[in-house]
Amino acid sequence: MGTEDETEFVSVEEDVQLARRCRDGDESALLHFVERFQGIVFGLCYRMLGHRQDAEDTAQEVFVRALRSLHTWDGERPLKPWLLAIAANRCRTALGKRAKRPTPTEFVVPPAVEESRGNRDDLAEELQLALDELREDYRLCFELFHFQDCGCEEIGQMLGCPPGTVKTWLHRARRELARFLERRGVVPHARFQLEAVRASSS
Amino acid sequence: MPDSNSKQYARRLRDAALDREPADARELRAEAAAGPTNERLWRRYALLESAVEVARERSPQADLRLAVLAELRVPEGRSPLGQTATSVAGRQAGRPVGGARFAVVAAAAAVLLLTVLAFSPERTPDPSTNSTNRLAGKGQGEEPAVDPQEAVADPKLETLLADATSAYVGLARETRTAFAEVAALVPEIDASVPAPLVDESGDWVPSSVRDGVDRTLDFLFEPPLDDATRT
Repeated sequence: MGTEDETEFVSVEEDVQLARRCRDGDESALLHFVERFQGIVFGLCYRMLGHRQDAEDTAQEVFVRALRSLHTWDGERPLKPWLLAIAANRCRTALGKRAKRPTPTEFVVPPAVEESRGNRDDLAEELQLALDELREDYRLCFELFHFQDCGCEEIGQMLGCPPGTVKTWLHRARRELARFLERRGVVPHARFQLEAVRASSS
Repeated sequence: MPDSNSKQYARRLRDAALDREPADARELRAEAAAGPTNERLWRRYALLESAVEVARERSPQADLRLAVLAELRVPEGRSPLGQTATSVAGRQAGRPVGGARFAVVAAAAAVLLLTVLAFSPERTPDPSTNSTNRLAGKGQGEEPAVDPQEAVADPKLETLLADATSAYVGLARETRTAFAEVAALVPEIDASVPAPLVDESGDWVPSSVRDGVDRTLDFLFEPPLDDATRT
């Protein structure tokens, strides 16, 4: 545990230094900032919005906003959750704007396949389709928990709700996603299949 | 209806989903084969876990560094695209077509007036009259006859001419700008297609009009050539 604390401490120290250099307008620091967090920010935006171009635009907006308001960041806490909270808000705004526009064809869910789907690429694709169908709060919870490795308490702080609510949303999100995937004939990866379980238990 | 074992199993699976590395994962897998309900519950759990696992491996990537840096260089509250769109819209809204037309007419009238004034007989010495006077030996005791070259070299006249030319050029430039703005409001038509002067109904096609106006303006408001350029 001591190692984890140490890593966390070093990380926060690094964050503080990076933020200071960014505030001073150090271009290499700005590039480093974006490089360091673009994976998580873009990933969140992509899974929340389900559209690459929209995700790029929103992620870019997240970084610009974050870098311009770095002075509001509490240096005692890590940058990542602060940045994720901004990203979550921007995604909500983008989804709100999208709801007012007519749905383009690329957001329409493709028809379910007849045959069972076990391909790994298909699995990731199907999960994205399922996420697109999910309620915004549930989707955000699921994303933050499963893809950003945030805890329920941390998610609660980001979204402004108690951890119990986060757990409930997470459970409902999982249930709805599983039903959606079942309806579309998606099967679990071979490692998780019951046949494999039976074989391993016998 | 699920029995108590199944309910308990569902609860354990639910807890396992919140625990990133459930200690009893192996047991849960083994218990899945206990009955159809457990099997269904396990299948759903497994479906989600494997989908997340695969999706995490295939996380989408994007390089936003340069785009963000470019965006940061733009002053806050002004996006380059927005600024352009606003300025164009503002220009069109702020200067209606009627206003531009009035400016063109006024400028053209002013140019004409200045030209007439600058070259009126009262102000410009007539070289032929002067030479006639000189040949006739007229004007003993009168003002000496003025040579055309000397007339041009007269400082007062030279100043007048210079002022008139300068005013002419300035007005011409302004007129041209005003005209160009009016012409810009005429819809563009693909240049690869030969544009007829009139359409089927006999009306003038705007692009032909605009081309004509452009050519006329080029000819009319071409800056005056000085002697050095002329030679």
